Amino acid sequence: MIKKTKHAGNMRPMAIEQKPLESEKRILLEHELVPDMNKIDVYASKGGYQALKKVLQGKMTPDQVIAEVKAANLRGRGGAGFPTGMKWGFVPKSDGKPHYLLCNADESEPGTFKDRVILEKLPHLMIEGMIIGAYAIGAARSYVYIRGEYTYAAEVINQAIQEAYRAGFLGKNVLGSGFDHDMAVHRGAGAYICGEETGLISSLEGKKGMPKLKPPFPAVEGYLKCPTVVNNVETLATVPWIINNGGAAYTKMGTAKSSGTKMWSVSGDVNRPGVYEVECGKPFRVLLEECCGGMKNGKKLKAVIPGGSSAPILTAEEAMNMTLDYESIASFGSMLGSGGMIILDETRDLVQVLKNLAEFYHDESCGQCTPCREGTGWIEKILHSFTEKEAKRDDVELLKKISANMMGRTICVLADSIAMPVESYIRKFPKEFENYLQKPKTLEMKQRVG
Amino acid sequence: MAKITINGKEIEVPQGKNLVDAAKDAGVDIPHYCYHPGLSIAGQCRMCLVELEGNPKLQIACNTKCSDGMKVHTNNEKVESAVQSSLEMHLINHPIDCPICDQAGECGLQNYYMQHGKYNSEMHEEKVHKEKVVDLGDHVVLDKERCILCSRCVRFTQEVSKTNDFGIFQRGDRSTIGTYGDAPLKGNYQLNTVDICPVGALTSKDFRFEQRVWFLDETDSICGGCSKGCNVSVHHKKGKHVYRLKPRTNEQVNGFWMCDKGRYTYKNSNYDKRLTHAQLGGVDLPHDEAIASWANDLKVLIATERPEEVGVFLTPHMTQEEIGSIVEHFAKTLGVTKFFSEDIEKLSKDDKDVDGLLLRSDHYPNSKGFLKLASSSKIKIQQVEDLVSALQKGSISHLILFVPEGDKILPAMTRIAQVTRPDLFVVAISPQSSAVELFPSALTLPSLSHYEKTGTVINHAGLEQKMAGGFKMFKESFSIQEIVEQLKVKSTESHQRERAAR
Repeated sequence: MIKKTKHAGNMRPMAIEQKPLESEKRILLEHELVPDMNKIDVYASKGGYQALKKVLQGKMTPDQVIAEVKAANLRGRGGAGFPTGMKWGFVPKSDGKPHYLLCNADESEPGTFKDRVILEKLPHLMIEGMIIGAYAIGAARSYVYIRGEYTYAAEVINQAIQEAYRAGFLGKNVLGSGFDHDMAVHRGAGAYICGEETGLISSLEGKKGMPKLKPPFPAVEGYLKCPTVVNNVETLATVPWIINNGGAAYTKMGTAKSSGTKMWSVSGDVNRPGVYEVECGKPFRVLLEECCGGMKNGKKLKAVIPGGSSAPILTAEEAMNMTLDYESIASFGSMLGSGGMIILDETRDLVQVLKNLAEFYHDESCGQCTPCREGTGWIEKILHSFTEKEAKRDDVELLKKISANMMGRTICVLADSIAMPVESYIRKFPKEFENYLQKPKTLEMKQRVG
Repeated sequence: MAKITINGKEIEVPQGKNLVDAAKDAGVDIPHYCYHPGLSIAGQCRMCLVELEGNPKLQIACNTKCSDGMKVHTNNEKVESAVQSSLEMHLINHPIDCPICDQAGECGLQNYYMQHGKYNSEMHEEKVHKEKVVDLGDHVVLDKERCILCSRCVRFTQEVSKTNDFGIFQRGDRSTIGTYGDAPLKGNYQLNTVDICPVGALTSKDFRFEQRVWFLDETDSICGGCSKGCNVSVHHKKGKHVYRLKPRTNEQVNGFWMCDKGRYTYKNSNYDKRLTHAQLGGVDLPHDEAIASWANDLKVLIATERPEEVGVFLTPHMTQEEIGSIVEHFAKTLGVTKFFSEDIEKLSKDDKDVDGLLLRSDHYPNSKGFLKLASSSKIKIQQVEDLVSALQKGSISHLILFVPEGDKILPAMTRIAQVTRPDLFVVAISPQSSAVELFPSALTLPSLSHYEKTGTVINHAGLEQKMAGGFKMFKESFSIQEIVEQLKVKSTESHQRERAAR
């Protein structure tokens, strides 16, 4: 056990005692339950750092590493789902500038807590993936940008990095290959927007965490105006498996376009909320019923937010028809996103859910772009008067108009992150809004609302 | 060069030119707040959204570089609705206090509302309230509520003045512009932030509540504060009162900026400092009479062939035309040889950048032109000390002083006044009373102030620039050329009268 340190925030490790389930396919979480898996010896005894040795001692070239990741069709697990190999391939070769690899561990999308498992239990898996990634893009330095509240995880990662230095996996001349690599942890200060890749870069540069205009893209001009790749924790943790088993083996899992496995953090009205690693393309039913043990208290499923709070909502029917891969979820107008799934049962008031989200995004907007800065606050205020004061039909129309005007009009996608829920909640659950319009504000109603 | 199509019209622009600027050159106004050609790209106001064919999302023009074959739409329905929406977002938390706002009439929000807005407000919620009337030092006042957070002022103090005064504090719609630790603004370029502020958030202490901008006329001129020759626009009301100076864009000289010191030079034009009537010994007299008495005294010296007893003091705070007319009449026609000034050669030789931005050490706007004229007309310009000793020796009996506005000439004038005997005939021609008061018995003639003048000045780099001028604040003040002309006319008149009498 790691000694608990006296930090503010969540210093307690995550309590996951779940045994692997039949319906799961664990390639990242394979050894999650092995005691002291955060220790380098235990990790090595389970085949850890074999991939790094294969790359550096087996004399794989950076291009070969990138080719392998491309062959695996690994897609970014942070939300956007951009092909990782292609992202690495954008980094210019021999441009004379230092390159950087940044691991995005600023997991702060409401409903998302899958990276936390890797950070706390399998830190070396991520570190190994980072060193391989850094080698592929020619980065001599990498940073783990970790969410400020993850104090315990930051401690675990710090200790793991020190162990990796002592074992010669980090520092000068890694494994005698001539490749130098340094790694450090940078703790965020609590802003959601610093999980956006360019916001993360600004924050790491010591500036206010504000997303940057693209172009230039980070692969060309990122951290300190040098070529930079920002990858999610889960993405990087997948890399060692791909190197060990080959890209082709990875594509054997999942669907044609969504290969491999995906970690899902499920919360809400289910019997067993938690983190599950499931092969892409499995039906949603498997995750809900077999992994999560079905709906809590036998209630009926009302809605599913599939990929983090910013993903458009799905009706129960849509959810039951979807499979767990990028394409299927997109076909229902939502997105796989980060895999932070929120299950809502029949008792949930979706207008209240939306108001809660609006409060969050209003609070977290960095304030740079006008539509987001002003729109998030406006939406929150309208929803507030809608639920607490007087619900007007015009308000619903106005919400639709505002969200349409925020969509795709800003530097980063924070505006879309609230615009998409507003649009989808109103479109898919019009009755929820209708309830507020029709019901007179009785005492009972007020109590429920308040 | 690249061929691009804007709203169906094909134009040719340099490859990589900023789309907002390229469109402007082609007569298409793409609305924008945060973009400023003199600052880095922020891309945050989202007003300049345009449709680029082949791109499903609207793109911001300010971060788009022109490339060959690009097809741009700035006025279709999609773009128009996006612009209107961005404008609406800017306005929902804006106090809309136009009736008491100094920016009214030149406000980006008002202008674009008339072009792209004209909707009824749907904002029925409580607006975000922020601090008002924040004192930012000697020149600028901030209203945080009116601010639209375009960050131009932040980028200006980071990139141009390098004073790093401004920052954006808080986030989301609680964001405010402010200075670190509420410190006053630093440096000599503070008022540029007022110029670039597209709304009434930053206003000038000097100008606020003085005049509604729609009453102001604009006249192009060149700043008279130093040898840089910053291009300015003089804002005055019907030529009767000057209210402010604003920089005019000239990439070759001042870019988009001017210094605060130069900006206040307009004050010398206004009533409280001006000489408005000809005077003799402090008593007003008709302009005609004043010129006549000057002509009479001068005539005696010329008639008795004593032009060497005439001394002329002049400075480079004059246009080429003014200096030219003085040289023409006094040196060439009358044969005057004694011309005095400060050590302009030294001022010009030592002229240097004071702050790495605009302000220069030579405080005259036309030293280069002055030296050029002196050498081309082979006139020897002597120093103040030479004049002092000449006056002490009594070798000068008729002294003509062309005194510029402002107080930079005061030390020299004081020195000259100290050695001026009461019986010396002194003619002081100046727009201002301050220096002239040093010569209580002098004949004084009001001339035009710097910004009323029409003419040419040559800046430190040898660039000839025109001042439009053309307005006249006081009926009896005249340009130097006019005064010299009047003198000529009077001399001939009296000459003819005398001849007739004989």
